[in-house]
Amino acid sequence: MFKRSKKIGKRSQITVFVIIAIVIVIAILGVIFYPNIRKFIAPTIADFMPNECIEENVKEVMNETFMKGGLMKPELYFMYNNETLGYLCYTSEWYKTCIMQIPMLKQTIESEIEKNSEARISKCVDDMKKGLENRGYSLKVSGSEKASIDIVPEKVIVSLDMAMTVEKGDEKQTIPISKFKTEFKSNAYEMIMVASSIQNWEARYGDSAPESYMAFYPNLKVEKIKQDDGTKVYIITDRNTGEKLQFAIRSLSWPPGLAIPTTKVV
Amino acid sequence: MKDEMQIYKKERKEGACIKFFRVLSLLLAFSVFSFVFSLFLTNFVSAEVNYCCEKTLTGAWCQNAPQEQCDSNFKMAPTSCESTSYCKPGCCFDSIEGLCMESTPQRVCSANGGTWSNDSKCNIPQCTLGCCILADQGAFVTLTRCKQLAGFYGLIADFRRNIANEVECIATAQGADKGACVTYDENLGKNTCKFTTREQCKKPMILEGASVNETLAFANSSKPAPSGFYKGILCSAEELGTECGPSTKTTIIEGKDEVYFTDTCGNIANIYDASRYNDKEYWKKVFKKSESCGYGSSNAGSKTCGNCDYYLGSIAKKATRATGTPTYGNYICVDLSCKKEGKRHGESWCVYDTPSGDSKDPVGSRYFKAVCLNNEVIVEPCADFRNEICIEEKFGGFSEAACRVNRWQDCMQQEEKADCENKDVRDCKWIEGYYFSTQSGQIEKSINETEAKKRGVQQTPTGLCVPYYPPGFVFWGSQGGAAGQTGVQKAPGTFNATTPAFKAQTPVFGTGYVNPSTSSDVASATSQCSSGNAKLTVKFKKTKYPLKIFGTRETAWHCDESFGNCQYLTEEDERNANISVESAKKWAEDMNEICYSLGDCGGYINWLGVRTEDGYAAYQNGKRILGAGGAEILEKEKKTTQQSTAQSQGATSGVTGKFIVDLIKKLGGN
Repeated sequence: MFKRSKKIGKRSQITVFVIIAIVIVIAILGVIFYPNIRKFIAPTIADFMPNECIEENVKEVMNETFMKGGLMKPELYFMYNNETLGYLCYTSEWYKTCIMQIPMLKQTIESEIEKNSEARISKCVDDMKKGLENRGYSLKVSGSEKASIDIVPEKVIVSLDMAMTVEKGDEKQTIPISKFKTEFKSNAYEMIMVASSIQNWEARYGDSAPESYMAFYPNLKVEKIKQDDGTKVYIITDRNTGEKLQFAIRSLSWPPGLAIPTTKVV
Repeated sequence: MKDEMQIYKKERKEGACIKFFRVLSLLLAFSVFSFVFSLFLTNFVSAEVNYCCEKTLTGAWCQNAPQEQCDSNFKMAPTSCESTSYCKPGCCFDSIEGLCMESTPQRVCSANGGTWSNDSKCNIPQCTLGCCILADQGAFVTLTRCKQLAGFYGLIADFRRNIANEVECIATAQGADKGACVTYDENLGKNTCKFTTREQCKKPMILEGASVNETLAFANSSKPAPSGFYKGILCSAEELGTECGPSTKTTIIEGKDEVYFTDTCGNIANIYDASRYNDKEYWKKVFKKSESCGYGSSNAGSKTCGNCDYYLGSIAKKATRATGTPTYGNYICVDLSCKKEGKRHGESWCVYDTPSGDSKDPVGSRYFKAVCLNNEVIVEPCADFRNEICIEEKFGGFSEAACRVNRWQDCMQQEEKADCENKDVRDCKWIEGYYFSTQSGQIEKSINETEAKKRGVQQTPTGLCVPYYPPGFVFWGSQGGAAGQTGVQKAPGTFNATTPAFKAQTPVFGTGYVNPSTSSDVASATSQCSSGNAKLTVKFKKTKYPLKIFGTRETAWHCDESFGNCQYLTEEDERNANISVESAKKWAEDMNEICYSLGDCGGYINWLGVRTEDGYAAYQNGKRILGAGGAEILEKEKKTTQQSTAQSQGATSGVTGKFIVDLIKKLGGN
């Protein structure tokens, strides 16, 4: 009898421990996932804001643009690792320095990202509107959903020139333009400036010195890979963020042997 | 150059800058050299292209190209682009970023929103560089750029036109006065402090021109110390009577190499030195880098000293288990060397995928330069086709390498050994005993002065000058590596050419042989390799032997030593007055060696070590004895065989084979 009650006591003790463990695990998960749970159970207007969606999409477009030398569909390109790298400076001739093809790289990249993320950003905004409308809000939108991209030191700013008034019963809230501004950390500016400097070096001297850039910017890795047609593939990598900007340049190229043609395949 | 390092500059010590600029100037020198050299070569370039296409069919702006390559929707003119109004290269000024882009055609500049001017080198007022001082950092940029940078960082632009170079600019920025900016806080009833520059402080300087000790004595004389800027003094100085004091916390600063102590207010103090944490003096005034612990060494991995130096191989980073933990704080000097390769940070060296130089570079081989930076080896291939070679030198155990132009182009024109081996001018090698005859267009045996007199012919050069680093040729039928099809190199030893010279090409011609009907590159390879054609001529003469005992005077054939080439003959050859196949082969092998030293010619190994014999053929009496020959040679051989009955025995084979033609002449004589 005594033995049995001792056994039952042990069992119940274990059960209590298991229950406590489960409660602890649930509590921890609750703390971790609270924001998501709260968003699901009782979302606020802020939870519908498109900033996260915009950041994700713009980052994707930007990375793709960077992998292609600044243009999503470059007309003049060099095929490298199945990627079409746009020529920033190019000459079809041998022994000649290059002619600038994209002189204002930063602006070109900004407008390219704007153009190619427009549809995605619109979708982010539409999702926000639908989400709010489904929750019974009526919306009044002013301004344009068109985004502008600014690449500045250490970050990228995506601004939507729009404001919104949200109404539901007595509740009325105005979302100002500033709330539609998305910022994310990026070293794109520094990388573009280095690329512009390389363009100028190539246009003037026909070559550049990657080590000098790496000496000044320890966080950047600059690779120059010479191809057999005289094209140089440049890859600028940020060691901290992993961002990569690659492009092609053809300048002061030498033909194989003693050939004296002035033009390569254009 | 103008745009060089236009972004906010990292502060660097002067010595480091000098070292950097030494490296830079070296690289620049090579660039300038190659540029000048190319201009020199340009003089030999024929004017094949005679149209300026505003846009080509492939989308390139402003290219000199044949008319058929111009996009007909855009302008074109039968002249060079430099002479046109629409494609004349000029300077494109970006008035937002303040950048000046060189060699930009007007059309391209305008389409991108830039302001175009006529000077392609950007020597225009908007592009004049000056020193932009932003707090304690300096950038050698344009005025517009300076304003733009100042706007980004919320600083006042201090643009100084009188500073003429980047080194001076950085030094000036570094020399900006820094110190404690003390403000009396009425609410707190005591001094607050911020360690900053004089410009940022915007308060009058305390005791202008006084020494640090005098300033400290002055601060100590009144309680609390008066508000103002205390040059060279830290916020933690007790004399200032601020709330800031020493702390064990450390930090790193963007653009600086070292680990710094911070005071209790979060202000930057001196370079981290655990041994001086309790030293009150170390928390009073600013100590220079050179006055700090471990100056002159990298201090990588030091637990007590944070005087890291990027140029000496260390940089401040967050401490991890791998780096070790410092006595105070969370930051440490991390070693940047490449331990596996045994190279120091910043060292560069040459890498070869095959044996190199001495006229023995295998076909398809290439030179590479490797650099150790930030614990990582970066491999940079030198120009393909051995248009560039890698050179390396050691300075006090520190190796530095660079890719430079392979100067092989005029080797064959040199007739003197001294000229050939002049390393200041060219990269060539002298081979004694043979010369390149411009008359016959092939390699022939040299004729020395004595021989020339005897035979009544002209003396020839005593040797042959060939490239020390044989150049590579496009010899596989069509121009390889057209845009979009180029081989991609990963690293030495793993080079992966997608248009390999020695993989399946149909037909495989092998080294040296090309189909001249494709491109001029290929034609060039043909003509270059044809310089390796050679002919073996041996003179036999009948000599009377001395009388044998009980015998008669005998005569026998002998190789005429004065004529040469006897080294290839055996005794039997001499007796028979003929060249045996074996002897001819021996000679052909020697000739092949000369042939492949001219470039990717003859029969030789490729960079993978695979030997091909397709690039040459040796003939004796119309019969091929060595080499597989190219298609053209084989074709000729077929014809020769058909015609052989019509030809006299021992005459020329009739093969104008690309490389080696065997010819034996029995000249006879006494």
